[in-house]
Amino acid sequence: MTVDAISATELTVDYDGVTAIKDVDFTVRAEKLTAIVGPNGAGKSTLIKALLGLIPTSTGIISCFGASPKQYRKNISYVPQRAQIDWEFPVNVFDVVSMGLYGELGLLRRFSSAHKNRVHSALSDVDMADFAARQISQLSGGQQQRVFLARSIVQDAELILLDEPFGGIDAKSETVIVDILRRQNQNGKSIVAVHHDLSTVKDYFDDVILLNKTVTAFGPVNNVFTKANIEKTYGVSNLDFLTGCG
Amino acid sequence: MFDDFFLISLVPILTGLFSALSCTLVGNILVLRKQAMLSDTISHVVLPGIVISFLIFGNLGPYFMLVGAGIAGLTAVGTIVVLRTYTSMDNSAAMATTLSVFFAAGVLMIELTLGGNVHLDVEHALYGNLESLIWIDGKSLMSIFDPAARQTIPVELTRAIIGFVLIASVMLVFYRFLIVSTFDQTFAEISGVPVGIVSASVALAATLAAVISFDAVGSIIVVAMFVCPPAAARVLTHSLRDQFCLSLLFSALSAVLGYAVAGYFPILVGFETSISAAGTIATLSGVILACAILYSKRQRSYDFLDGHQT
Amino acid sequence: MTELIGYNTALALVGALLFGFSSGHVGAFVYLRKASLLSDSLAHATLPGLIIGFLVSTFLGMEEKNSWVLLLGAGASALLGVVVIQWITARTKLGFDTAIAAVLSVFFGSGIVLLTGVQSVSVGQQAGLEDYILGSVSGMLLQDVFFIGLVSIICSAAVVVYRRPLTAFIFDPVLSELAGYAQHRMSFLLSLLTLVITIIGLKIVGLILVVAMLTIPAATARLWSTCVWSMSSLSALFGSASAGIGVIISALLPNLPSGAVIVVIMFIALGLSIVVTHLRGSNV
Repeated sequence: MTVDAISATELTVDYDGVTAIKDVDFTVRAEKLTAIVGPNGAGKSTLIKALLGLIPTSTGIISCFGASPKQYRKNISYVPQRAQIDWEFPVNVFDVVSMGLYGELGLLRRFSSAHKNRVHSALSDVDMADFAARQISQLSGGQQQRVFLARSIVQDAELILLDEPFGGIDAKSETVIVDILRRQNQNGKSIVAVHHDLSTVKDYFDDVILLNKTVTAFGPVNNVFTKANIEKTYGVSNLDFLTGCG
Repeated sequence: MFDDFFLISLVPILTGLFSALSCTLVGNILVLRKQAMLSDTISHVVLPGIVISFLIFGNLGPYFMLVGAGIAGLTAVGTIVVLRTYTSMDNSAAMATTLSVFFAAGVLMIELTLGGNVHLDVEHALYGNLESLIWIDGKSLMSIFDPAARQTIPVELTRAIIGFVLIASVMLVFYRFLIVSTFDQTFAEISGVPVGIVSASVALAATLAAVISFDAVGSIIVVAMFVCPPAAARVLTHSLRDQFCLSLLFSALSAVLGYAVAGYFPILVGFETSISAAGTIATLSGVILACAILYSKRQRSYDFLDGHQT
Repeated sequence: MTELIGYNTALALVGALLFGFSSGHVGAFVYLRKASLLSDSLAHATLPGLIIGFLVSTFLGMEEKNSWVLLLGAGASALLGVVVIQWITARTKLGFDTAIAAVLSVFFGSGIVLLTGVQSVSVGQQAGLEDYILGSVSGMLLQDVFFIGLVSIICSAAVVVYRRPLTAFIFDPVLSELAGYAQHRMSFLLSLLTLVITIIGLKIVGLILVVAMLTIPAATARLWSTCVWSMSSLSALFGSASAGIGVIISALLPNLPSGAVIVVIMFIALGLSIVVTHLRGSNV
C-alpha cells in the first residue's frame, strides 16, 4: 500500500481575521493527478499556502508521505500562478530553472556540472532545451509556464503542487503542459493542481477535491465529480453541460 | 595645482570612491526589488542617529556612529510598520512621513545642541564634506607606505573601506538568497530561504552604506549613488553579473571624475571658486544614466543576444 | 500681536496659515492617489531652477529679494523633473521608483553644485538661498504673503470645485473618463496643484520637507473622517494649524528652521490622533 501523498485532518486556517477554510478533511492518493476545484473565495489558494507551510494552521494536521510539515518541505515543489513574477528581471531560462536547486545548494555549495545536467534534463522534460539562453521576457505565456514547471521538476520532488497552471494560456500550450504533467506522473510523481476549468477536470485528472471553505467531496473523478457535488460546491444548479453527466 | 594631491585630494577621492561603490552594490538589489526610494528613506533617517551618536560619543566614536545609525534605521522601519498598521497610509506615504520626520528631528537636534559645530552641521547633512578630509601627513606616494604617516589618515576613509569590504563580502556570500528572494519571494520562502532576514539584511546594508557615505555626500545626494549606476547598467545589459560589474564601473567613474571636476574644473575656467564634490558626483552619475538610456534606445530594434528583431 | 512677535513674523504667520490650509487640501488628494514620494521627488527637483532663477534675477539687476523669478525657475525645474521621470519610465524597463529616485537625487545634486558655485563667487545676496531648502520665517515681505495667499486660495478653490472629478479619477480612472473628465486632464490637474503647492511652500517649509505638508495632515485627517469632503477639509485645518504654530515657535527660537518645527508638530498631531482614535475604537 502506498502512503498517501497528502493527508489532511480537520484543517482550519484563519487568514486576515477570516476563517478561510474550516474542518477540511481529505487525502490525496500518491502517484495520481489530483485537481482542487471550487468557486472564487473558496480557500483554494489558502489551502495551498497552508500545505506549503507559508501560513500557519489554526487546527488540524497535515502530513505528506507520512511526514510532518517540517520534514516534508523538501519533497514538495511548487509552481505558482503566473502573475507574480517580474518578467523583465535580467535572468534567462537556465537561471530560472537553476534557482530550483538553490534550496538544496544553500549559500555555499558549488553549482557543479552534475547540477547543470539536472537543469538541462528538466528543460528537456518540458521541451525547452533550446531556450536555455533566452531571456524570460522574450517567452510566450505557455513557454514561461513550462519554464516554471521545469524549475519544479529539477527539484526531483515527489509531489508537484500547481496553482492554476492553465490560467491565461492558449489551448495548444495547455495541451503541451498537460502532456508534461502526465509524463511526470508516469515517472512516479504525484501532481496536485488548483484548477479553474470544470469542463476539463475529467479529461486531465484522476482524482478531484471539491472545496468551498470545507471539502464537499474528494476522491476519484468518476465517483465524486457528480452534478450533485458540483452544484453543492458552487451553490448553483443546471451544470449538466460542464460535467457531461446527468 | 597637483602638488598637494596627497595632502588634499587622495583621501577624498578614495573615500568618495568606496562610499559610492558600497552604495551601488546595495543599490543593484534595491533597483531590482523596485525599492529605490528605500535608499532615500534610510539616508534621511540616519541623520538623527548620527547626531545622537555624536552627542554621546563625540568625535571619538566614528564606529559608534554605525550603531546609532543602525538603531535609527531599525526605528524607522518600525515606524513605517506602525504607520501602515494604524493609519491608512500606503508604503509611499509611510516612507515620506518617516523620512521627513526623522530628518526634521535630526535638523532640530543639530541646531539645538551643536549649533555651529564644525564637524556636524546642516550643510554637512545636505551635501557632505568630502573636501575637509585632509591628510596632514600626506606628502607623497611614499607616505602611503609610512606607518607613522598613515596614522593621520582621516578615519572616514578607513571606515569607508571597511564598510565596502563588509558589504561586498556579505553580498557575495548571500548572493543566491538575494537573487531568489528578489525574483520570486514565494518560491524562495518555500525553498527554505529566510526571506525576512534577507530583507532586513538589505536594509541594514543600505544603512551601513548610507552612514559611511554621509561624510562624503550627506543625506540626499547619496541616493544618486545607490540608484543611478545600477539603473544605467540595467538598461544596457540582460545579464545580472554584467549589471553588477558595469554598475561598479559607472559608480567609480562618477566618484573619481566627480571629485576631479569639482576640484579642478572651476579653476580651469578661471573661477577662484570651488563647487560641491558631492553634487558633481551626483550630476555625473545622472549624466551617465541619461547616456545609457539614449544608447540603449538605439539598440532596441535589434537584439544582439538572439540575433532577431524585437 | 505684532508687538509680541514682530511684523515679519506676523506676515510669515499669515502666509503659513494660508499655505498650510491649501497644502492640506491638495495633500488629501495626493495622499489618496498614493503619490507622496512623487511629490518628494519634484520638491527636490526645484533646486537647480531656484539657483538659476537667482542668477537670472541678479543678472537682470533685479531687486535682491525678488522672489518671482526664483519661484518661476523652481517651477520650471520641477516641471522638467516630471518630464524626465516620464521619459525614464516610458523608454526603459526601469521602475517608477527608480525614476523618481534618480530625478530627486540628480536634480538636487546639480542644484547643490550651482548653489556652492554661487556661494563662492557671489557677494552676499545668496544668503537667503539656503532658506528655500529647510524653510525660514525671516525675510518674509508683504508681497510674498500676497503671492502665497493668492495662490493658496486659488489652489484650495480648485480642489473644492474639482473634488468630485478628482475623487472619481483617483478611485476609478475609467469611470471618471466615462463621466466626461479625461484621465490625463485630472492627472495633470493634480500634478499641477502639487507643483504649485511645492513652489509656494519653498519659503516657509523648504523643499526637503514640503512633502510632509502634502502627506501628514492628510493621514491625520483620514483617521477622523470617512468621506473625502470632510477629510480634505480637516486636512486643510490640520495643515494650517501646524504651520501657524510652527512659524510662531520658529520665530521665538530663531535657530530652528521653520520647516523642521512644522513637521514635528504635524507628526505629534498624527501620533495623538492615532492614539485617540485607536482608544476610541473607531479606526475607520
